[in-house]
Amino acid sequence: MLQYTARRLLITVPVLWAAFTLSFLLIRAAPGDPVDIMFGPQESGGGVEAVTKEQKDQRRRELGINQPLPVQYVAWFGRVLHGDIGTSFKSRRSVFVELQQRLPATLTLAAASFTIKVVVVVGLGILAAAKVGSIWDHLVRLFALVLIAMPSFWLGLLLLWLFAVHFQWVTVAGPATPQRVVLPAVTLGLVTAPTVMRVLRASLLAELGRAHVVFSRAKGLPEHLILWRHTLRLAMLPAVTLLGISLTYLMTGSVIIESVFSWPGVGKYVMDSIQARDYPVIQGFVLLATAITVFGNLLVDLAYGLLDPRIRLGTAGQT
Amino acid sequence: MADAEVAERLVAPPAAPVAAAGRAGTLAGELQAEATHALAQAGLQPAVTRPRRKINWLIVTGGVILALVLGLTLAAPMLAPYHPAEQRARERLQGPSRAHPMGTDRLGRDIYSRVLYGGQTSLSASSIALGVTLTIGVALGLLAGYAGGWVDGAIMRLVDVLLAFPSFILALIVAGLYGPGLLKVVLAATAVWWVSYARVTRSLVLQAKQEGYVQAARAAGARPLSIAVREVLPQILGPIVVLATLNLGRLILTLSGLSFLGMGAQPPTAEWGLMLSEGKAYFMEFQHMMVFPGLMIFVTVLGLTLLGEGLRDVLDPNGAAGRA
Repeated sequence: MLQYTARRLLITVPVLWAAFTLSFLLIRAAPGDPVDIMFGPQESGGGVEAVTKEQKDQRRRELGINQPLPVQYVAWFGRVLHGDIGTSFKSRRSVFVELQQRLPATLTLAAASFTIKVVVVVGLGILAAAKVGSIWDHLVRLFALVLIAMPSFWLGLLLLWLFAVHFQWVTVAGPATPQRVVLPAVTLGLVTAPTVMRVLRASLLAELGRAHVVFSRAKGLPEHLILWRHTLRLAMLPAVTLLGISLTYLMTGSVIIESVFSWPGVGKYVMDSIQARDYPVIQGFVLLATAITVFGNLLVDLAYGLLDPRIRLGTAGQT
Repeated sequence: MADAEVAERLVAPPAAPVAAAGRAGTLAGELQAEATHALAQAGLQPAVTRPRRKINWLIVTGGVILALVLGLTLAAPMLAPYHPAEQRARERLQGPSRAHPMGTDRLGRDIYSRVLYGGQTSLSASSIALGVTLTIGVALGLLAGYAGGWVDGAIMRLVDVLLAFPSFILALIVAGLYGPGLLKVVLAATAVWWVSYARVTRSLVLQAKQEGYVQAARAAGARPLSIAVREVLPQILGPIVVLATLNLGRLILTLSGLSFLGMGAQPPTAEWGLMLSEGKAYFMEFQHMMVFPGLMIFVTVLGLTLLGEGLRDVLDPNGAAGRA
């Protein structure tokens, strides 16, 4: 297991580095100068607030963006290795602190939607597999199909309309209160649920079709014991993987949902930073998002190894 | 996961190929025969063999829905009662009526006309994105799988890196930094989305390389490129078509999502995601502005999903596309 862990850990290093370099190049190659955007165009007339070219150059020197790209890259990379992901051009505060401030809202949303997702996936997935071919099974599969085709922002708006306007159970805007997290969490949980739900149903059915299940049935074991005690653990494997991967998505990919529900999380902050060409913030976010994705996948792999010894021993497929 | 896919098919046995004529029919038949063989080897009973060809209702339903959407979209100039950009200040923010079947928006534009024309934007952008990703992905997948060695290694490392990238974030950042616009968003999406095709193609090519017909071609002295394109490619098209159909739906969702965030199509273009975002500001009082464009996205993606899953039963019984 130790060797397996070490091997998986080693792979993440070059991946992180490559993703980091790619995002650096992508961001710096973009047109638009952050200082110009900060102060407005240079030839904006001789108003009182007009900023001279010298002042702008001064600012560029402060920010370190007057140097050649490779120099900036090395300097930036060195700082990142020391755990400093930069200072926001706009607020002049640490990107880490800025992101940290908005992270709780995003994490609350991620946690709430993940809970809803797990309940939906496990509940409906097991229901469909246990009662395969029944009306319940068909309803669950139809539900999954509808959710796959549903644009998240449309579902969000429809739920808002129904519960905020029609029933007036929740408020549309305001601070991130526990009550306000319900609708975005339901939306996010539902639109990300169907794939995992189908996988769980399918793997449960595969497991229920195995010889040991036939044997258990033959010896008269009650159906619920077969399901809960003998098949669920192995059948959960693929679903656990997907759930783990989606956890990283929930933390980074909720930009749309945050926009629909005016949720004051990281997503909104990043959208604003993109508009302002606040390079360090964007880079910091890309780094954060990539790191979350990479380490999320790593954890999932490790969990998988724990659940299925064949994988960590590298003997999968030799059954 | 292969087992899982197989199991799902065991429980809900795939209908036999219906409309697959000519070459596709034989291909599907072969694949199905292969699947049966594989199942037998795995010690499982093959899926219920049906003596008569049965209609695949997934394909039919999905196809009809798509045909309707496509028909409405293409016939927009004939069906739309107004020009999509025509503003009628006196008829602003009206609910559905006889003159405006889906109501009007804040500028007095007819939503029904805009929904029809909006389909042209949404569908063509997604189709272009699909075409480019498909070409790049399949080409690189063929190359990686067939060439092997360091070429394979290099391509697959690139795939690993791109997979670690949250793709939606990438598209968002590209659109945000390089200026919003549908074309830029499409480019950003293609930069990441080819990965799934490359992976599927590569794994299929690796399988196909072991087959007799490839070795026969090699023994006959055919050049590698010719073998890859003329022998291997036609054999692996089925799963790729399935993946492409399902991906087109996801692309429509992604691109309209980016437009919804203001990063994709720009006003005054009629585009479903953008219309939804315009309707968002008024959804408390006027729901019709966001209901209809969203419904169109939903119905289109639903049609594509149904079609893709129906095609999977026929063209990809082993579920290779699902392992992307």
